[in-house]
Amino acid sequence: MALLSPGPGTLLVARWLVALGCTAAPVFTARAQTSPAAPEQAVKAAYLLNFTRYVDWPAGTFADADAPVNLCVLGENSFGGVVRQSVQGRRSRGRPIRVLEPDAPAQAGDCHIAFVAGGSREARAWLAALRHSPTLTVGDGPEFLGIGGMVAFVLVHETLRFEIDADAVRRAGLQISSRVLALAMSVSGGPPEAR
Amino acid sequence: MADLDIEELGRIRITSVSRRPEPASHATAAVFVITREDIRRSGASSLPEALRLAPGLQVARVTARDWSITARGFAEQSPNKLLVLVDGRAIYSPLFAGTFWDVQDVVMEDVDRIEVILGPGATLWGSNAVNGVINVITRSAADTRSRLLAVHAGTAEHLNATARYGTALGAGGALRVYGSFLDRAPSHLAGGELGEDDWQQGQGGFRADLDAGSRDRLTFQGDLYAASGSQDVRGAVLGPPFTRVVDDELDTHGGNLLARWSRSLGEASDLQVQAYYDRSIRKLPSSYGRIAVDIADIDMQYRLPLSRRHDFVWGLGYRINSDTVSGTFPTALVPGARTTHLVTGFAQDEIELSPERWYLTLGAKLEHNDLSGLELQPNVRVLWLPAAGHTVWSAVSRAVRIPSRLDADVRFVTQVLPTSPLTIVRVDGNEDFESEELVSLEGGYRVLVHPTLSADLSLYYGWYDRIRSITPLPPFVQDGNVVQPLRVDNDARGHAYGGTVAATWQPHPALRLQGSYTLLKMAIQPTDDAPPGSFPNVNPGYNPEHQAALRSSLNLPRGLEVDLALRYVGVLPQPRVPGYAEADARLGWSARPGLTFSLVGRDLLHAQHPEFWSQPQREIQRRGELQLEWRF
Repeated sequence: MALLSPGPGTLLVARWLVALGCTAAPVFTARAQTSPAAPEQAVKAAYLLNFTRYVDWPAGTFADADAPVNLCVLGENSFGGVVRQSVQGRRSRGRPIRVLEPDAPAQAGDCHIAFVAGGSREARAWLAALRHSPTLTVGDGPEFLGIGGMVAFVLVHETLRFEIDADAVRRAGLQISSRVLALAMSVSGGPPEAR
Repeated sequence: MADLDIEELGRIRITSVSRRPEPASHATAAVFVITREDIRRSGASSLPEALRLAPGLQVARVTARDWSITARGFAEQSPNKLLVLVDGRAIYSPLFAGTFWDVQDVVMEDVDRIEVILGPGATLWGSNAVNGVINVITRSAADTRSRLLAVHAGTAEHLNATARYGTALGAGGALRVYGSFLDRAPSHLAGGELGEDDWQQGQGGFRADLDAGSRDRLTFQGDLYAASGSQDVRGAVLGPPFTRVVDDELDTHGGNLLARWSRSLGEASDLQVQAYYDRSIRKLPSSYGRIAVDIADIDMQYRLPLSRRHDFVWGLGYRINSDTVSGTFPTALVPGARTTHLVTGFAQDEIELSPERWYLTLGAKLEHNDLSGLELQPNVRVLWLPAAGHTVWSAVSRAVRIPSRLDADVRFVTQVLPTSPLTIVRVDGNEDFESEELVSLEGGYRVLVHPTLSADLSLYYGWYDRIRSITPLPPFVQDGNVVQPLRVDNDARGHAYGGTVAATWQPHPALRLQGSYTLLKMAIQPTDDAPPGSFPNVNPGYNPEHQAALRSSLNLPRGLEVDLALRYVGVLPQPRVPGYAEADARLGWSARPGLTFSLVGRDLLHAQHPEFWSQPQREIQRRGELQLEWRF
């Protein structure tokens, strides 16, 4: 019957697609002891979920204690579905997580964390739209910091790590945990306001 | 994965750098997902065109507006073994068992993805999901808060224009409202003259998604449409010349309204209740007359983790279906109006036999419908993960295609013979028509050969029984004419087997190549106890034995995109439609996020050629299209 539908209704398909539960790569769950391995997209999605837990937004960003964290995936790509699956049913410091994929830069202003996909040309336009928003921007490759992004994923010896532009984070009024800064491959800009 | 600490994530070895969701997922079925990006890059401006992107589907354009879309065989002008849903609403018609593709003018820019399941999916989706399921899922209104203007103008799709307005709705809600207009040119006949199959459609609709608290989501959506087109109907007449072709105007309109409530109950548990109403009117003055169909449907599903090793989901559903058909000659339904009820329940448990190695899925759906009674549609699925990057699955399932109104009640005069008195050859529906049945054995293997290369193989064998057949009955005299009845029966059986192999290779972040090949063998014969003279009402000759496709997506600097698609469809043996190779091409330029111009060429290798048998024979032309997509 008509049980398949968007949003939570895709549950059944989601179950067939990833048949082993909520994560995109169940073979490689936390229980795997040796040499854990996973597709890049699943690791990125897990990073994004973690970032939501280690960033402080300016006072007044959230309407109330139950307001959701908006985790956005920007640009034409298929990553949003992976992120949605990864965060399904999870919370970030007590807040629900809402995955958004705004389809035009003008609608990206309410993103708290935004993964910006696509080439530098496209990424620049999204970053320009987010310039005055308290949004932690995350993208691919060190060049993402060069065009004004805050956190850039880099592949290092087949593992996924990240670099941070602390100046850009601070300019946006965000505070990022020292736990995250300590894990960054490099932190450019001045000394960050770590909490 | 999502439960890992941020420190642990940095130690995970990356296996695949694909920019797509992992194809080597752990589905226990032959599943392909057509993503939003795939649709955009293909330049598809209609649902059927987008479905050509799915390996293993048989997509043939019969006329400018009619499509024959099926999987794993059983192609007809309107195949009846593929279930199609748009946002959880079945668009498969219980009246004639099939999908009216002409009126499905979904706004392609607002489609999030299309999930295509090859093979039976009846345990979860219910009856008629025999050879496959297509799920069209549109984007949440929260993701479409922009304004959209999309205009496609071309040589065959004269105009396909959509305007959409999206906005936030209070805290945590969003709404979009759209209107669209479509003007489709007629196809050409083999001799070059125009076919009578043009199409004009106007449509409007909305979707609202609301957060009600942190766990609950509400969705309301609906559409209204009106469409018309000309068609030539070849019909029997009670007098010379006994057959005539009537230029007819097909008029149709309808609408639907859907509400859905879902509650998240944790990582592995949720509850969903959905209800919809769908009404459609279709006027075919020279055949069925006025067809009015009303459908109301409500269902719920509840997923709960019974224990750490069991993932359990169950659901209930009810559907009422009511129609009236006014035609009397040459086509009538007796009775002219009927209301039927469908009650369903299902349960499925996924059991972890050995952690991260073996999984077993057991499920069954029990349905009751007014025409064929109780139907049980179970499946057993096994998943084996022998090593990282390798997935092996197998499944045994039973699925049925339940009787349509036509199967039970049609009176269709196919021929009037100029004998004295006249002989009327008439197909008579059968109240005792039973469900057509499939028992299917399938299996598949997915492998991640290299971080940039993945492949997916699926194979199947299907035993079909109680397939629709026609039995000539003894003639009788009625109103001074001799009536030769041809009764609809279930006296055919057969098998189909084959497989699909698909591969994706991303040699460079800017280039993606995808290829697929599908093999199909199919045979149908009368059952051993079929009455003399009985013959199957299924024609394996409508199906190609071989299909292949190759697609390339290339990103160039400055926002340029080049997409090429080649497809080969083997010969349809009877009635013969020659095999063909065709090419589509797209040159896109993204001026900035939200603004894209595309030049699309379709079926570029031939001036015109047929894809499926029709009478008179329609041919699909080479055509070009300019597309503008602007979100702001």
